[in-house]
Formats: sequence, C-alpha cells, structure tokens
Amino acid sequence: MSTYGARHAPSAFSTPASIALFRRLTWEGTVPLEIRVDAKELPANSNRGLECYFIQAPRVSYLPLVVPEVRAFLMDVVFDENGGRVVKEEEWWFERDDGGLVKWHWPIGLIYDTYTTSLSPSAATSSSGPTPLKLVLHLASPPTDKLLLAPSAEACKQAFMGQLKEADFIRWGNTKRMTGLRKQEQDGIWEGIREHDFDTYWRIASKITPTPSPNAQGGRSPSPAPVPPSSASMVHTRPPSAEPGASTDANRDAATAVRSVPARIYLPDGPVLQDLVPPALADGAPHTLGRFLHTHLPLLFPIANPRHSSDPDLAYALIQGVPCPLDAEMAWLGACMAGADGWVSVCVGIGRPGA
Amino acid sequence: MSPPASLSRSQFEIACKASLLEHVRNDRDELAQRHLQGWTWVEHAFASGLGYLSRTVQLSHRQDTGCDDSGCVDEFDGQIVLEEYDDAVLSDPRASDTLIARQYVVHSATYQVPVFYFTIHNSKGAPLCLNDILRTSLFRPHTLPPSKITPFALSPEYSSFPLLSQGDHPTLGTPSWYIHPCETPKVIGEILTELPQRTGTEDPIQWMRVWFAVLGGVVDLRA
Repeated sequence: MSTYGARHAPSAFSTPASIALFRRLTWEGTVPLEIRVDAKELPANSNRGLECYFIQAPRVSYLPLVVPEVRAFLMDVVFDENGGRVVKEEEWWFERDDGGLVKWHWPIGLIYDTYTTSLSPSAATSSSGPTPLKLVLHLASPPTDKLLLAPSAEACKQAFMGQLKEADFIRWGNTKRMTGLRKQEQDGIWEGIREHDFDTYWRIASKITPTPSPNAQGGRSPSPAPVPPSSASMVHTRPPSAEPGASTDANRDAATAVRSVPARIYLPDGPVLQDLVPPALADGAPHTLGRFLHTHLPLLFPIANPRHSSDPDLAYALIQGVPCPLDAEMAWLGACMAGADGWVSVCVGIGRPGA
Repeated sequence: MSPPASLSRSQFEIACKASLLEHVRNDRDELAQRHLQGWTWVEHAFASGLGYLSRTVQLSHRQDTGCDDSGCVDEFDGQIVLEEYDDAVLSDPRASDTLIARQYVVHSATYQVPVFYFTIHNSKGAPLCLNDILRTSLFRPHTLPPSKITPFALSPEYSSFPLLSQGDHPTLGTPSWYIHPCETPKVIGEILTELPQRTGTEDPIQWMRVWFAVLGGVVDLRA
C-alpha cells in the first residue's frame, strides 16, 4: 500500500472518478449487528430462543431507522399478540453486550468503530474478518442520564441536520450553504440516508461538500508519497488549470479551500476531541492525519510523520472502519472519507489495528 | 454590518477564570453579580483543555406559563397533538415540585463561542421534557419566538433549524439541552462594535460579560 502515485504524476486519488469511487465506498460500507432482546424484558408468552436479529446495517444509517425492521421481525416471530400490544417503541434503547453505551444519534458506523477501538489489542487482532457488534435491545426504561430523550426517526433527522450544519460552519465560516437549501432539498438529503440511496443523497450533498482539487500538486494521496517539504508547500499555490472546465467555482469548492475540516477524535472511554483543522499548515504543507493526532495526542502519536517501520506503533486511527495511514491529508479525508453527516470521525485505538 | 465575533478556547478559559475572580473582588456591577453567582470552573477528569463553567440552581414551575394551552402543542411525527393535562390542574403536584437545574457554560469548538448547556430534573431525578422545560422559571416569559416544538428541539417558525435542542455535553458527553450558538457570533459582534473603543473587541472578559448579558435576556440567570 506504499507504492501509490509517483511524485509528479497526477494522483489517482485526485481524479473526479476516484473521488466518486471513495465516496461510493464510504457510502456503501456496512457493518454486521447482532441485536438480542434482553431476555428479562421479553413480554409474557414470547417465543424464546428466537429473540435475536442479525442485520448488515449501512454505516451512514442510524439505529432509530433500523428499529422498524427489528420491530417487524419481533412482531412476526417473537411476541404474541398481547406482547406486541404492550411494548412501546419509544421506550426502546440499545446497549452493547459488554455494557458499553450506544448513542442512538450517532451513525451506526461510528458506533461500530468506537466498539472496535474499545477492544483490547489482543481481542481486536484475534478475530478474522468483521465480527458482529452484539447489541442488547431493552424494551423499557432508557437511562435518561446517559442517552438523549425520545429517540425517533424525526429526532434523528434533527440531530443529523444539526451535525451537517455544524460541518458547514466549520468548512466555510458560515452556514449559508446549509440554510440556503430549500425545504425539499433538506428533506431529500435525509431521504437519501433513510433509503440508503447514494444518488439522492449526493444530488444535494454535493452542493455543500468540497471536492478535492484535481490540480493540486502533491496529490491527495493517503499514501506515503516521497514529497519533500519544499515541493509539498507548492500545494498552496494553485498551478494554472490544464483541464478545460476547471473553473473558479471548482476552485472555490476545492477541499483545500475550506477554512477547516470537520473532524473529531474518539478515544476509548475518553472525551470527544474537536479543534479547528486547517487543510494546510502555516508553511503551506498539507495538514496530515499524523500531524493532527500528534498535536492532540502526543503520547500516543509521538511522531507526526512516521516513515520507518521502527517508529513506535502505540496507537492507530480508524476512519470508516479503515486503519488509516498517518500521512493521509485532512483535506482529502474531509472530502472523501467524511460520514454522511459531514464529519471525519477519527477513532483511536491502542496498539496495532486488528487483522 | 459588523463582523461576527469569536472567542478562542484559550480566551474563553482566561475570561471565565478572570470573570469569576473579578466577581469575588468587585461587588459593584449588579448585573454581573447576578449572572456570575455560584459558577465554578471545572476541568475534565483527565484531558486538558476541556474546562467549562458549572453550577446548580433551583428552579420552579412558572405560575404564569406565558403561553396559553393552544400555543403549546406537540408536533410529533407530523401530528399536532394537544397537551393532555391531569384533570385537576390546581392540585397538580408538579407545580410545587422543586426542580434542579445544572447549568454549564462550555466552549463550542465549532462556532468558537461560549454556549449555554443545561439539564432540568424534578425532585425524583427524572428529566423534564421540552414542554415542561419551557414552563419553568428558567426562561423569561414571552422571549422565545413562535416556535415548532418536537420532543427533540424547539425551532422558530421561520427557520428549519432549532434554537434550543438536545445534544451531548461537549466535555461530559452526557445528555443536555443547549441554546444553539450559530447566531451568537453575529449578535455579540454587533454589540462589541458599539461599545466604547477602550474596551476593545479583543478583550475576552468584556466578551464574556456581553455574552452573559445577551443570554440573560432570554434565560433567568439569577442563582
């Protein structure tokens, strides 16, 4: 994975086709969930032994959007008529089977990744392939000191739109792009999530999301490209366009033109860290993931640009389930690896990532 | 048009600590006195740079609810549902119940301004729903615009984005309510530019005073 892109050749990652590819890959990502109803809470006369439901859920989706499917299964197979009448969906809440908290307003992919990084290094590496995240579905008494009240698809939409709007503000210093969307466009973007429809979502999301500039030197490659600092600083000065159709508008929307990249760091059992993440550093060099993590977690990431295999490997970064090379550029991550809510969620795990 | 104003995390921290000290020393500023009573500066258990102001106050249910029942409707899944009350309003035990409000002033890493977060619980420890929150003494009567209310947020009728919404406390990660900060940079910017030059727009303490004064117009900040 270290041989992508020669120094001056246009990076494969910077072509419109590859942007679309990475956005598609991010969008199509799914995670396995095993949802088991808490046996102690099953209504009387339930069909015991079948109270477990498996689903391959889209990373960009949310648990309240999965609930109707789970409910239909439980009604069909597990609950009897009386049981079906007594359960109240608005009381339902999820918990990891190890007791970990599951926030219903987080994207499912983020819930899965924070679960992965919470495992001890040995547990994370012992598995081969993705293991289902085991969730316990409780049918009553959500812990109101830990979870936001009244989960529903509508509440989820409001939380999601709030995240999109924050991401908009971080990128451009105002929320004009988001607030400028018409009502049916705002509804459409959520419809894209609900239906897991890439085209519906991106038809509108492309109006607010930056595109990596196809012309920037140094590439948007997340590979360890051997770019010396002097050359890397050229990224800042945009070369004249060689492509017809690369307009001023395209430059304005370029990933490197944003004020800051919406990014948060999730630590196992720690607070969520957030700061301004400019796409380029003061000297014009691209802001990399390694630099970002080194700035905030110097003990876990003692070197901003590790280049040698002998460099310490104390922790790793997981983005959309992918262990991410530390020289990935934040601007590129913001344009291609952000969640549907606009945020690059960097989940930090201790040790080496699992196989 | 005045430029939007922002306050960095370090300015926020300096201002919060200085405002507290100043309050202890200087009793003449009555408004600041009321706003700053009882706040303490709290750091995260092990991560640095995530400090915030915190205090606990008692609230009551407002006698004058400030809105007749027809104005307080739940919009839930597109249905307008009129509030259901217990038949005997006068003997409603909620009216005399003591409410505990935890209040926080945190720094928004997104908007680079202070944000007011809070939770309100009844004496049994149960959190209040939004409709009940709006009937507490926390909000000054008649200050909120005509709004759509869902269990998750309150949004002005003219906007599709909330003024007041649920959200995780940025440092504690616990469920809270917060007053949305996206208009704060503009409002504070306008006021700061109107102030006498000597105070300057760069003075973080002045910034926090103005912010508390603006917040105090909507929220009753008396401890």
